[in-house]
Amino acid sequence: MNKEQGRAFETFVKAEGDSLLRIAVLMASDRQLAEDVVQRTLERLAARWERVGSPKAFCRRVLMNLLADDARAAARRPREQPFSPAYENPDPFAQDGLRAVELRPALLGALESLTPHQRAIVVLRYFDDRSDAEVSVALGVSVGTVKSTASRAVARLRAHPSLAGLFSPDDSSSLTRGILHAHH
Amino acid sequence: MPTTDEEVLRGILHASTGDLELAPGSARAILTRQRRRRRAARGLLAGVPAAGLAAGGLAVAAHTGTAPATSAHRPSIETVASVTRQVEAALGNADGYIIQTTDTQPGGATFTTDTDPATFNSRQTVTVGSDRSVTWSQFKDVANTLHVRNTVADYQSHTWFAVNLQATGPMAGGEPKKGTDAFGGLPAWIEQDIKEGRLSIVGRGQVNGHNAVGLRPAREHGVFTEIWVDARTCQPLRLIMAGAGARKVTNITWIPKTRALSRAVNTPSIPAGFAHVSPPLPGTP
Repeated sequence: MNKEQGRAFETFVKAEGDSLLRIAVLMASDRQLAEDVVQRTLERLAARWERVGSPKAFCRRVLMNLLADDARAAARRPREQPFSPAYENPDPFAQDGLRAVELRPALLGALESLTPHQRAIVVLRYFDDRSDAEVSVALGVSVGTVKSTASRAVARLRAHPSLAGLFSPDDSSSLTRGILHAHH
Repeated sequence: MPTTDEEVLRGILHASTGDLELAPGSARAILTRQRRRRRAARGLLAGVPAAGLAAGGLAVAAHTGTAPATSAHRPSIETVASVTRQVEAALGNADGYIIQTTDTQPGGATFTTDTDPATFNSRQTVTVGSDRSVTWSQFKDVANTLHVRNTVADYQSHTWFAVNLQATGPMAGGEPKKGTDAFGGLPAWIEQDIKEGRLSIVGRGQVNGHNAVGLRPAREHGVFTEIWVDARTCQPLRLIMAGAGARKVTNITWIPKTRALSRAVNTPSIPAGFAHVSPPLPGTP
């Protein structure tokens, strides 16, 4: 990679890095794992920069593959249990670390109820704003499968207790209005 | 305002991740690592013709604990001054590695230490035979008072406990130093000898698959000691100590770590099913 290509790579990471990290967090529910996977994705991109036609699509595809590989490997390991808030609160260290936004734990909890396939489709379709056709290419499934899976996944999230109230049809829901306002 | 489920979901997905940002400089760090790897690969390729000759000495090194001297794979570093300077630099760069030390005698312990250079928090795994324990040490300066908390998970008894070792009094001796403190496995007097250049080269050979240079302190320290360092990186690979009829060989492995891995040491995580117990009283084993 020459200097000009290096600059182009840096520009791409600056523009797309945050999105990649957010997709990875939504897929993995774990920021550290997500950062690690994004880093590995970008390393692969850097190694193939000259040959990659669409860096954005390449990253999505590699990211999803790496996350799937990690999920398979994690399934074979004993599950580690984080400290409970009751343990952390009285301690000065409780203020350390990354403070998740209010919604994230609820959302990640609901996303955990989806299959990995449903989750990938939800994240690419509704967070990454990919079209049904683009999602079908990224995940190697038909457009019809993307549509039907997305529909079922949204219905399941809507019914999930941790997101109760957010999908309310009542427009007076201030939280829903706030979320939509922030997004738009 | 229409609020379809899909729009609401989009809003939730974006609102709940809006604070997540990739660390600045990530791209540059990746490019730097890539350049280093290419340089290292070129170096390895350049050393291929010597590999066959070096393999002959490897079995001897593994058997005796001391690397054989040979001129077949002469390292790029030649003088005591250049070696000691580079060893010191390698120790100063220990932040980027997980350090594993293994005592080779039967029943010897393996210590795996990962220190976060930003906070000095560390995670240390001690393995002796089939027994294993993990200790997370966390430091925090609150109102000029250094808090130190150790969290210990014992994989033999499937229990864990946490203890605040110090929660009062001002910080003594200032902030911990970077670099050599993070290593934690090298006797202080060896570091002093390295800094003062009081070492002589005793040979060159292979240690755990690395081209290595053996160094010996020029003055007595009560035990006969050699330290073998990687000929290219100058990272210590093996310590040999002997005295009172006993001989101890400790191998050292340097494992490069990612930023995410380093950050992970901040977060003690207890495996599912481990029981919370009271910390042992001071003075009990």
